[in-house]
Amino acid sequence: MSSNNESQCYFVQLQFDSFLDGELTGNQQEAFLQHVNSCAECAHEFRYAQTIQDGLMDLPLQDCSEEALAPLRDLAQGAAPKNTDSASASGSWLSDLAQWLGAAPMGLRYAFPVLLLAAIGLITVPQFLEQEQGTGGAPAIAANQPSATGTAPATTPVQYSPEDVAQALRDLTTALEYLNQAGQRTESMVGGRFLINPLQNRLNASFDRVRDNVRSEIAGEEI
Amino acid sequence: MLEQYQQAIEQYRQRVYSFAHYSLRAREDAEDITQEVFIKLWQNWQKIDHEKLNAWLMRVAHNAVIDLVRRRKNPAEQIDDYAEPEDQATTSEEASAKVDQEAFREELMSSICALDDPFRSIIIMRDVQGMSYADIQHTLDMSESQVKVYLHRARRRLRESDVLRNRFEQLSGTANPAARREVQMKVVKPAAD
Repeated sequence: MSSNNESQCYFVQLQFDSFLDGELTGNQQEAFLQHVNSCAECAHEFRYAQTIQDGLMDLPLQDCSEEALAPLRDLAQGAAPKNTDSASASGSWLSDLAQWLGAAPMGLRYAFPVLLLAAIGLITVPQFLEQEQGTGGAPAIAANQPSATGTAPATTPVQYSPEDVAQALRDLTTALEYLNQAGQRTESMVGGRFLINPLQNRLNASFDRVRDNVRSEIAGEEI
Repeated sequence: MLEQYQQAIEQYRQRVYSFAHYSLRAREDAEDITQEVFIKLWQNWQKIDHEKLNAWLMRVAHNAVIDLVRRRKNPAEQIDDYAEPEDQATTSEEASAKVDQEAFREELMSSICALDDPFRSIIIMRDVQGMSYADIQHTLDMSESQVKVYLHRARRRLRESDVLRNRFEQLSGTANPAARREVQMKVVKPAAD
């Protein structure tokens, strides 16, 4: 085999794929076929390449079994896939819910959160109102108790027995009597000190005696 | 959406499964990958450009195959559901000159599976499944020239397979080892890439 033929064979074999793909021009195809028909080795190699290419193109499209596709059909019909190793497919119920919402019509997609909020409100609001009503409806005796801040006590009211009420009234009477007695005494400022009435009475008596003495002395002098 | 999703399954199930099966040569793995691809299709239905659904599906399938191959670097973990090539070659040599076309097909599929990626994926997509260069470009995120170069190399690697060469020689009945070596040298010599 001459070097000229060798180089020709080399270039022709480089064109196998282009010829098989129909990418050669008319002249290139003619030259290609002319060489292949005249060169046994290139013809053999071309048959080999063509056999492989035909074999590739004849390989059939294979089909997946229906059993393997069953989880996909379940998924499409809204059920969770039954048998899959995919971590993303076995996501939480929240992701399933999100997928379901994503697949739902637009109206249902927005109606679902609204209905969910309404249901939560229907459950929680009555409980809250009942609790508020319980604190506002305390017994009268508790409501009448004085409060330092003027606001309603946060704790539940204490229930008093009749005995407790009677004792409280007796204590109140004693306190009032004490206040009456204390109110009968008056305070006087004498020498920078507050003096209560009994002492003032004694002082007044002393002043009266002094005054009487002074008057008697004056009368004696006049006599 | 449900109807469209089921239509997509029916339309592309063979293509996705075939790609996985020719890549892995294991039926159960191919079924797992098919499931995974269509579950991801369901999960990403709203985000996908449905004009390029074929390319999207094949991209997901391609990535799933690569992930599985990486996970199973240990050959002992691989599952082969096809006949042993060596046994078939020996049987064919001893039997007769008439070559079993089915055996050649098995050899061809095994040789495809033995290719590295992206040679394997490109030759399956282009030559087996007949995908357009544009779809392969979108699937593998390559330019058209890159796809053509990889396809050319993949075909050449297949032709360099000794198993396929022997099977062809038996098929054509023109076994000529000396001539074969000479032609093989010519094919390998250029190293154009």
